Amino acid sequence: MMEKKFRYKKAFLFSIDALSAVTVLFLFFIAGVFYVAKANEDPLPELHTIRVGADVTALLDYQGTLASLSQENISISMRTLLPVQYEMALKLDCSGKDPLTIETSEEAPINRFIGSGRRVFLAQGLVPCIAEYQIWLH
Amino acid sequence: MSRKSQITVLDLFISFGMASLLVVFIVLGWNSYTNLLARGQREKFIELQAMQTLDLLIKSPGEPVDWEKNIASSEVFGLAMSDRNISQKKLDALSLSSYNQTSRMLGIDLVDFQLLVRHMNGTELFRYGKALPANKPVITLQRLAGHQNTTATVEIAMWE
Repeated sequence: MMEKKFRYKKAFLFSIDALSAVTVLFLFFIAGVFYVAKANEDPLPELHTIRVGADVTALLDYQGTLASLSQENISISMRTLLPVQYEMALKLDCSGKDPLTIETSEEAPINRFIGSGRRVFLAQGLVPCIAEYQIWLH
Repeated sequence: MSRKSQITVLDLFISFGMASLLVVFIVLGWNSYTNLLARGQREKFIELQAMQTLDLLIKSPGEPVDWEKNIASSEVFGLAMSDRNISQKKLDALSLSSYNQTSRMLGIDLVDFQLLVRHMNGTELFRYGKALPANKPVITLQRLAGHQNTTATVEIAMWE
């Protein structure tokens, strides 16, 4: 009777040991996969997205479109310049005027990367303005 | 041999078989993962080179600033007259430079490349570099820049 009880206890400990080993192994595996996936994350496409936004804003500035502060002109030029895979929103804030927002789509996505940046320019009448862009992939 | 011994031997064989399978699985997995990571690193390296080269070309006038007047004196190629405004004269001068010299001067001699400048309507304005390979992965990046009072896309394709 005593020996049988001891055997059950031994089997129980053996099972616990096996279960612990599998759990530890599984945790190591999860941690490994997590860190490898994290190391493989590529920030370069996101950086490129920001640069495309900066290009579009700079070209709008060089063309004089930003300086006009015309919502329609800026919107048309922005759609022409922006590569098809991107959407963009531009907020123009000039001192002494209400901010102007121009968007190529309804609203920015919530759970995806949005690149952003700022550019200072002079509007007509040498009014200092800040163009703040947000850009994201379709 | 008693039944208990037979079971023990069978158990040993099974566990040995499973351990061998596990080792084979780990070695194969490790190899394929190493290859995958190495390929990813190479692609990231090329992408970074493409990004930096394109940035340099559209934003910098090069070194010296008027290198297009004497290509032999050039130290760094840049195509910009000013920020994001590329010069036709510099494009013409670049087309006269040898591929190896350009590649070395841009610091991208470990990879091959092709540079393409297009008008926004798709008209090709300038093409330089090697022909795109058919059987290799190619990384292509595109930026916007002004060109002779219009807007152009400057595209670089890079591969190993």
